[in-house]
Amino acid sequence: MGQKIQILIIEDEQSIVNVLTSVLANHGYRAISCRTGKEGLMMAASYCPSVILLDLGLPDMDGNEVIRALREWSAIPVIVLSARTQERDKIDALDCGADDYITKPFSTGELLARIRTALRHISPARNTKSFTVGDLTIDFENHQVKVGERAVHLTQIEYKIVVLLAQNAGKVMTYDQLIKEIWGPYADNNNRILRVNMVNIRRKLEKNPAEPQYIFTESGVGYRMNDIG
Amino acid sequence: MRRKREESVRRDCLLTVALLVLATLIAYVFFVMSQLTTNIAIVYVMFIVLIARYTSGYFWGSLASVVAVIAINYFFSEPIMELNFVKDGYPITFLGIFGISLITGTTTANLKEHQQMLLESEKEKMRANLLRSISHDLRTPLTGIIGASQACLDNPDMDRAELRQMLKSISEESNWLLNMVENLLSITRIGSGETLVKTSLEPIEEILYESIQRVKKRYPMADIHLELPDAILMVAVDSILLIQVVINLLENAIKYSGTTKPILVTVSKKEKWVLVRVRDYGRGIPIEQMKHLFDGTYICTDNRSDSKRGTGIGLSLCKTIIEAHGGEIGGKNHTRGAEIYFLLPMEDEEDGSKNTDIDY
Repeated sequence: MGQKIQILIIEDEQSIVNVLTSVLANHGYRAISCRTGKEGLMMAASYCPSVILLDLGLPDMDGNEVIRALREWSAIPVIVLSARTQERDKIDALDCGADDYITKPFSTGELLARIRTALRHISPARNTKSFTVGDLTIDFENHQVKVGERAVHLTQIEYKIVVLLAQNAGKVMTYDQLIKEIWGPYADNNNRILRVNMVNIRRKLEKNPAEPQYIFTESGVGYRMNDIG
Repeated sequence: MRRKREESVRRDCLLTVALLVLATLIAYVFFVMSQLTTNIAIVYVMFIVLIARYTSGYFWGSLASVVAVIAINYFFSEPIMELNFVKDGYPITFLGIFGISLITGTTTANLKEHQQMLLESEKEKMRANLLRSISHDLRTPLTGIIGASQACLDNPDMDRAELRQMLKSISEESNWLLNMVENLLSITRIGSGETLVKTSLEPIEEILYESIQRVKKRYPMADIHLELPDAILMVAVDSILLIQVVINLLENAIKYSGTTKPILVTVSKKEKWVLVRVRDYGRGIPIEQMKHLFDGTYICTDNRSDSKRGTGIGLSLCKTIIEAHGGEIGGKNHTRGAEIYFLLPMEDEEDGSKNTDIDY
């Protein structure tokens, strides 16, 4: 099988490091860790881990500084560990170059899912003809969206949004990222149009939006398309 | 701090001067119409009461009393435009006027102080109650966690089934604690003064979906139905806070309705408001509790299943949050079950089906 995938944990709370290390080890990953941003950057350079888990509340550096510094020379996926009520921090981190976030206290399932998604994005064996998750199929060539057998009629904008989310399936996309991709970089940042479109999309796709299967809302941050059927 | 004091002194001084001038003008009107010194004195006393009421401390009211007596003597008593306190009967008259002014002034100032003290002590009491409630609510799940983990540690030969049970209990109580902590943190998101909450435009259904999702994670067997109008109703809210409100309402309905019948959440437009109702079909809310539902007082009942309640904090926090958003919250009983509802100002209403794009 070969070497285990290495994951670097940059977190100053020992108890969290312990939990993460144990969870990762139980699922076949090899965890290495350090407690400060500076050490983290050095270890990232010397070990070249496949994924980095970064705590935003480090003692020596602002989490976003670490991301920015890292992004100058590396595209290693970064998942930030943040508190639930700090959406601003999450958005800033994502804008700085983080790939995803996980909220403390986190569920093991979510953590592993985000890691798997992050790993998938580095080695995209991406199917450019269609996308499937669960009963949802998007046929890129024919611009068709189906849930099971039922064809779903989306408007042009709605279709673009769904495609964008699908191309980044598993990863969160912030409101800003979506707005800029769909309406361009000079779009009015008022995200009302985006939100209304998303409500319509979810009403059309989800059987029960309270138990979403395809598109998840990340409140205060953005949206995420499911990537595991 | 000093700047504030200086400003306050300047303000009080200006106010005193302004009111005295006004008093003198009105007194002059009286004087021209009739020469009754008593009426004039009463005008001044009235203004002294106002001065005492709206300035800080006893100083300005007392000063005004002195000035008033001098003014009355100088402007309005024979000999006019002259100070004479020794004419027949004048000493008693003016002493009397001075005495009345002083007493009324100081009494008013004293009353103000009293009111302040009462307010402070009310706040203290509320804070003490809140802390007591919180401590109680935190201690309860912690007792469970400590107990269960200790039991596991003490018994290395515990069988897997029982071990699993202990761990499940620890997990549940911890999640309960987490919700409590998030409630408390919510309090810190609410400021004071002009901007109580930082709001963003949100579709109300997204808030509700997320809340329902989170509740189902903790209570997977819960049966929650959501009824939405066709229109997409938008509100300006702090989504984290509003989600906390809905979670609190749903969990209350689940835990205290005493039934597993489904919980119904309905959204509707009511003039310029969005009305959200959380309805359960259980045993309803006891009449005695109705009045105090959003009080924040910890309600102890002898029903053991209520011992984990913490409803005190939950509902009073909901009220604070909803009102901070310019909304209203209330509860009522139906023939079967109870309902908590809240209203939020509606920002926008989008037609659910209308779209100016062409379809694919």
